[in-house]
Amino acid sequence: MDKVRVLAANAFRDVLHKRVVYVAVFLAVVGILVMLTPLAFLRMAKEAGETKVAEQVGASLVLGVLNMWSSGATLIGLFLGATAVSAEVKSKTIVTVLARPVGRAEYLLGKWLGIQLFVLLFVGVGAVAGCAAVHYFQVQPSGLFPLAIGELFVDAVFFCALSVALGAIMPPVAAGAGTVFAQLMPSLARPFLADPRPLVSWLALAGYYVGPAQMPVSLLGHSFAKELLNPSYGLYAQVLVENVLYAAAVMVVACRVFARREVRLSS
Amino acid sequence: MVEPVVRIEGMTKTFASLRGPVTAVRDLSMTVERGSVVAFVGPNGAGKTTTIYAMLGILRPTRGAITLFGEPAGGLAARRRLGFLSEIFYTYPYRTARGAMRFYGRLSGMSAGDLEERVPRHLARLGLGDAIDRRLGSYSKGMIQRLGLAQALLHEPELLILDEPTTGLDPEGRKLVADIIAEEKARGTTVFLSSHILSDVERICDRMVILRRGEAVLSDTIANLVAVSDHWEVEVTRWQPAFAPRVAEAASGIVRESGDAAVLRCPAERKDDLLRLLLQLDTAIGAVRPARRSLEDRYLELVGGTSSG
Repeated sequence: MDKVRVLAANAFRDVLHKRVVYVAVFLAVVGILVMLTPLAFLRMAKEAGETKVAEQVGASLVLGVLNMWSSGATLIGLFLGATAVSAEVKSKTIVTVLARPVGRAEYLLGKWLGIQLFVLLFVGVGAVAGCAAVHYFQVQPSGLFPLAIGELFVDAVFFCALSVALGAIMPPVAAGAGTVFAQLMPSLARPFLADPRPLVSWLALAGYYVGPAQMPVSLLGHSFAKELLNPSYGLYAQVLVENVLYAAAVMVVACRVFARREVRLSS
Repeated sequence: MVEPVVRIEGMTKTFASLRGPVTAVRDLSMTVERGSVVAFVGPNGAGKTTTIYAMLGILRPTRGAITLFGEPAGGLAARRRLGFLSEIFYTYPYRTARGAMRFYGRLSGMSAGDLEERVPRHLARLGLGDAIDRRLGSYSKGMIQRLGLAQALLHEPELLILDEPTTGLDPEGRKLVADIIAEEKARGTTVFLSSHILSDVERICDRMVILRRGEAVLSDTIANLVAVSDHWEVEVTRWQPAFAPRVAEAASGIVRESGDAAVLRCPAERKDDLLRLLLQLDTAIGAVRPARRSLEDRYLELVGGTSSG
């Protein structure tokens, strides 16, 4: 486990030296600043004593900021994950590492954990900022809010793990596209589940179950919009746990495949 | 019987490409005995690096097998006992030399105590003691290569696999590397050295394997390679330049001429004729010995003058 820790620390450090990450963070912050333009409107509503309007504006601001931050985290996770192995192959730094007594699974796990730590910290900053904004704007989110924050973290784990796993066995663009496709697969398959043609329905069924579990409602949206009548907290939590396990399972499969593969270096 | 440190048996490596399969190494078999220094020589594209990557488990042979210390190549047990330096040492430019060495040492399972003691010692041995805490981004190409050798030596491996270790080094750096290989050899380390610097190979290696277009065209000891049994050299004094046309039929050439001394070379079957002629010319014969040729001559003869780049 010590080698995984060493490799994870190295991967985390590597991320901190990638300019593209700072560009992505900068763009996310700019996007958030643009979204905050209704702040003036919020102040006017407060001064006019329109507390209900002020709360709605505040809620939509918090929602927008969290969505924007979460999208940023997804993109960063996808990019870093999909290029994690290929970047080391391209720079050939992988050769000296794999010449050491390091298992391929240890290498891949270390890479994933280092990048994952960065992405989770990034999401964590957004979550803390979101909670602070909730407090500042005096918004009253529904009971789904903690689960919605949890979903942000689970999504970060899902996208990061899947893209690292696929990036270890296919080119980075295919890995990124594959991760997005895997996420969308159940939604794409659902309309064909009841197709009268057996082959189509079987394929749809396979696609539906091979993909990750789908959250039946938008947790973040319902945290600030109309409250659900009968929220199924247990089901939502189960979906989150299933998706973490899904990411872990994909990583286990990727480790096994990566261990059997050659590492082709360009001359 | 003692198991060789490296055993390659019938290794073939074929890569798939759009223009059809490309065979980089074909039916290569060789062994490297414990404590020996073996040079792996061949022109660019001969398959040297492919073979080394297969030894490390980074590539898998299409056919054949490689074992290191009797263990399958690429396995953890084998990699624990080897140190490797690539042609150009690619590392993380934001790290310091100390940080990079610790990183690679930890991956080899070294303890913090060992690292504390060995990192400065090995960096100083490679002349990097003063730059130990400098970021590698500010290192020159030669310094990076020396750091590469330091990391390969750090865990004191039993087998050193060095792929063109002197790339980017100045003459001083090249001498340092040659000296370190000699020291490692004296310590009992087995060295597998891919190199184009044949003068270094001649000086430090026991054996040479020449690879051409993926096939081993020769594997022999350096002593055998430089000794040319079908030619002889005759050292004479009381020599005059005017004798040259008279011995031309028997001697294939004059190796050296200085004052009244000369060294003549002749094919083995003309040796007696040459000696008779020299006696008739009243020269004094000092020594008659099998001729030696430089490793470079022998190499060029075998690879057909292909550039060794």
